[in-house]
Amino acid sequence: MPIDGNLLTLSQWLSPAFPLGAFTYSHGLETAIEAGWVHDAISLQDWLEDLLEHGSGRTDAIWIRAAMSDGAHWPDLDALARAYSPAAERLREADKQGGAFVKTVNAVWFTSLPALVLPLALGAAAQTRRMDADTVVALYLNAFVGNLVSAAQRLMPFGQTQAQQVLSALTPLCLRVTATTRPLTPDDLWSNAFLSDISAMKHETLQHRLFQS
Amino acid sequence: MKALFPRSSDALEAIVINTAGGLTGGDKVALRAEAETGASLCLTTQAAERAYRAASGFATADSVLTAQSGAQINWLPQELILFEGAALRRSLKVDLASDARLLMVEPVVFGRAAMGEVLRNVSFQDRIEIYRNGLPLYMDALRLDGDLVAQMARLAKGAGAMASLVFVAPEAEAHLSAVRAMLPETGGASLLHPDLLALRLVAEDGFELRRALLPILDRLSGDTLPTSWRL
Repeated sequence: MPIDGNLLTLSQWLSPAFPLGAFTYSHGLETAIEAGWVHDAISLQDWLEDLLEHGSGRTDAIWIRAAMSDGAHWPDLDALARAYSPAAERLREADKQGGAFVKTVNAVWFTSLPALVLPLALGAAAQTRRMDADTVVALYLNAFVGNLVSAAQRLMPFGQTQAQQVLSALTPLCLRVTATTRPLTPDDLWSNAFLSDISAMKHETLQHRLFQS
Repeated sequence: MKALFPRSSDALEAIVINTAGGLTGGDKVALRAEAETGASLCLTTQAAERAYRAASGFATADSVLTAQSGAQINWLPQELILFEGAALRRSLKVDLASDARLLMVEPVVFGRAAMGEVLRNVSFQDRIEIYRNGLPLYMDALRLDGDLVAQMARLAKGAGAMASLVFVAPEAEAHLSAVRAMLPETGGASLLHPDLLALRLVAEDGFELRRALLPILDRLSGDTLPTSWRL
């Protein structure tokens, strides 16, 4: 496995320690657990597989690639990505994390990236350093589901070993979505994660919330 | 296709009829409608649209709506029913002026449950694009291929029907909590902009879907829902 400075920078950006506040977002999972739609390791893994293959995972991969493509016009992509947000909290989650990401990257790496939703912000930053798009997408997807597995640990009885088993079981799918999104552009966007979208909407009125989404 | 224009209310109502009785491979249906400055237009269908088995190729159905300044469009087609073997690519594009109003719903039924129909091989692509002053306002797309029974079991708790609804009007926010209170557990609504309410709903079958949608559409349309929508 070749190691270069870019890989270390990328893993720094996608680390839970990078100040995005990622741990405060459940991407609708809190509602799904409250409704009983997700209640154990198997139903959590199903939920995350659907997100990766049919929902935000696939969609975010396409946005990252779009931001990294030659001649990408980031503000136009950002307007389009915002219009694709199915729920207000989903938009806020992408907007706030993207804003925090850009602020930190600009301050530390002396870039001048504009405020963008998170997958575009990551793609834009990766493009300035000529990172490998497949590596960025694969590590992003792994971080995305990793954050949601951590959220599940705080929301339902779910051991740490089990959590790592679920995450490990999702590795092949992260790689598959990385490969299948390689030729895709925003023209190929779609999402079938219907319950995930509905969960994101219902989270706005959830009582006793631990998470912001 | 043809259209009827019943004289029922102040606003112009158009009932679109697919005289072919359904869509199958190779069919191409296109609809274009425009509400000029200050005008109101309500579009619906006489019956549910049926997407039948496609022997080869796919059917396309593309609609383009334009609402000029101060105009209002209500796009309220009845359900699209997908049959086993259906292959359909559908799109709806809406261009709104800055102060135009829109109420749109797209209900989809995955086979008629009461008839024991099961969808194991379907190809359905659907896309909604709403622009305001030429800029993207709301975008939504789905793509379901293959065994819909298996996929809906995971993606929507085995739902046999779903609907997306978008309401663009200055008073959208005032309706949010009332609309939420009308939704079953498998439905959600959110205010994406101060004047844009989006709703997504999955239901056990077409009947349950319509039962949940009716009071919401009555409310958002100001009780001007076309009579073809009544249960």
